[in-house]
Amino acid sequence: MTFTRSTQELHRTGTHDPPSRPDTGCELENSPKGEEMKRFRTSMIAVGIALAALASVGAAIAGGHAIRGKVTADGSSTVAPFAQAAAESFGRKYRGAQVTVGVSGTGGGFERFCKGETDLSNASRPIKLSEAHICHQAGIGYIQFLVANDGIALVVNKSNTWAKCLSTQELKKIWDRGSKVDSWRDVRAGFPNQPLKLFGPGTDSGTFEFFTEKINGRARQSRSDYNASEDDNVLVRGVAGERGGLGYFGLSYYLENASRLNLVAVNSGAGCVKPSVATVQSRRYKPLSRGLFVYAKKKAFNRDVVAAFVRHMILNERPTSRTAHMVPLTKSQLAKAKRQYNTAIQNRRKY
Amino acid sequence: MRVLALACLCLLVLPACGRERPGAAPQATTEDDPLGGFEEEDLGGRLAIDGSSTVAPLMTFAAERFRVAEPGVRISVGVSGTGGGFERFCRGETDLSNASRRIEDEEKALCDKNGVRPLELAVANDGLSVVVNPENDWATCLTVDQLKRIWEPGSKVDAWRDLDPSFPDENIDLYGPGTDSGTFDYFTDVIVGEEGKSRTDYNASEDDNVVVRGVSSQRGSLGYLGLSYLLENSGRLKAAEVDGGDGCVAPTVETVQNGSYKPLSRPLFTYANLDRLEEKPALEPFLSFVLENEPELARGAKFVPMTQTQLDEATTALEAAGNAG
Repeated sequence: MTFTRSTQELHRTGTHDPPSRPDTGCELENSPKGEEMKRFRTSMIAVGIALAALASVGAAIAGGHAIRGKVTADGSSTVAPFAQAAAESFGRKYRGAQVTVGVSGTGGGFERFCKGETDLSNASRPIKLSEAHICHQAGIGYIQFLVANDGIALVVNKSNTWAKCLSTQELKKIWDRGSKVDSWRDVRAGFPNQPLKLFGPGTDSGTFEFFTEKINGRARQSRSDYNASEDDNVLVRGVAGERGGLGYFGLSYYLENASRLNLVAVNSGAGCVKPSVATVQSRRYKPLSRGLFVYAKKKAFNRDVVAAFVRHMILNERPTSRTAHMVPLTKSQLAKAKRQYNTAIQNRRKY
Repeated sequence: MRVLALACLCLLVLPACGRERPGAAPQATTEDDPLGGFEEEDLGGRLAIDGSSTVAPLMTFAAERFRVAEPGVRISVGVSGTGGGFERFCRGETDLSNASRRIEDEEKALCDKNGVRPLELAVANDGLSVVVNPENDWATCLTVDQLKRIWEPGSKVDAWRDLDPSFPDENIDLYGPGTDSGTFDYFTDVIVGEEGKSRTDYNASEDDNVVVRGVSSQRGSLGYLGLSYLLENSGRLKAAEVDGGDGCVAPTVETVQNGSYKPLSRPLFTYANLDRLEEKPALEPFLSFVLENEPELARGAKFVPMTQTQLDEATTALEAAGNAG
């Protein structure tokens, strides 16, 4: 499945660039699930997808709680596949529940969240102080849930015996806007005079955004003369078929294709570190690993459907991150999320 | 003084703030309860805290309350002082270092040398009030210089007239904390100019209520203590405004929080070892607990709570810790 890393964001807004999208503009509701996934994958229409009960199915009632109604989530397109996968399995379980997942970007999501427009805000970075101020001034308290880990892998061809480890400076030299590096020899003296063939995600991807920000120093600043595809499998095939190939994509795509590619370690100043589930979870793999978050409005825990969805995300964290091609939580990260949920559900009448 | 107040509080088993022990959470009997609480693994391990004796009561109080929810966690709170605490912290000996001031460059360099990355978190505001008897209608505002002349070692100020010829010829009876108190350290540092330096011929007690009683019963008396004692005894004490160079300012929650009550207000901090946040499962939950319950903990330990802005800053810093790429 490839939709994960190719999600398009309609608005990659920072905090200073409010989204112009009407609130309901990017929500599709009531689409059959298969269709939905397909559209997500193939047409790249950037849409938050509403997963909804299709027909008149009674709301699930368990433990005296009727789980029905709407949950609104918006924010990072990188986190969206996770929230989306969770929304789908939640919708299957509770037919009267409906979760809409927008993709206004992390900043745009917080803007809506702190206006009280959404219950959940998906974020590929922690909330900024300026955003937190706005939230609290509006009386919106929240809880930060870490839901998954994200890491970008750099890969080369199986026959590449030289590029075991690249420094962040070398990566910048290769990938920055205006780069003329087109042979491995230009990357580092001693590398062979092998033409460099670059593969990477398209500009609508959260992975592109993250990589360019961390490597080139500015989000979306990148050379453009590389083989770009929103389909990570195209990138895998490309690097696997070119002796001089170099590409980047989410770690899970490497792990699924480990026999066809060589992994490159990254040196950000403290030695070479290879991306792995462990080094991404611990953030030792710098600078290309990060946490993915869902911020939940405290007051929204008073609505059973929101509380149940948060619980569902935590309970099903592992299969959901597999579906969404993300690195799962560690035991202690998961334990923390569970503690946070317990605290929230217990205190919700006070919120 | 604050230490005593704390000890009293700890003896009372107060209802836990924030969250109860996990067992009190609604547990899921089956996976089908859509809102059921998760079974929690109890946290365990030890947290080593050292540093400022001023901050210690707050952290001890927090630790007591935290242990109600997490009885498996052992937390020790030392009182080596801010500087002594940083020395241990920057050698990697402690997980948290309490500080009544920000970390200094030299201390930072030591941390750096040992690969210890500190995360600064404000935890409360500290304000000292200079108090006089309610019948005292002359000492409405005192300058730092006047306070220094009263309190410095060898001071010959025995009557109010010695301070200002327009003041009455009334004896000044002085009350203040004992030398083991963080309040004493702070007051002598910013008023006399050197920590620990003070005249010694005053009524010293580690019990703030002794100061309250003394000042409230004698017309000519003067003392100093934490702002919260003034607020709790407002009918029995009167605060003198303090002129720190920018005019007379009364000690209030607001002037302490915004720092305009100079020089007797300051933020209090704890510094966390960033790597320990990863390594010790109990550390982040403890810090989250402190920040979530800060207003209550600060008041319990006789400090001034943080503003929402200060809390936002600390909370976002903690949330961001360890998550950056």
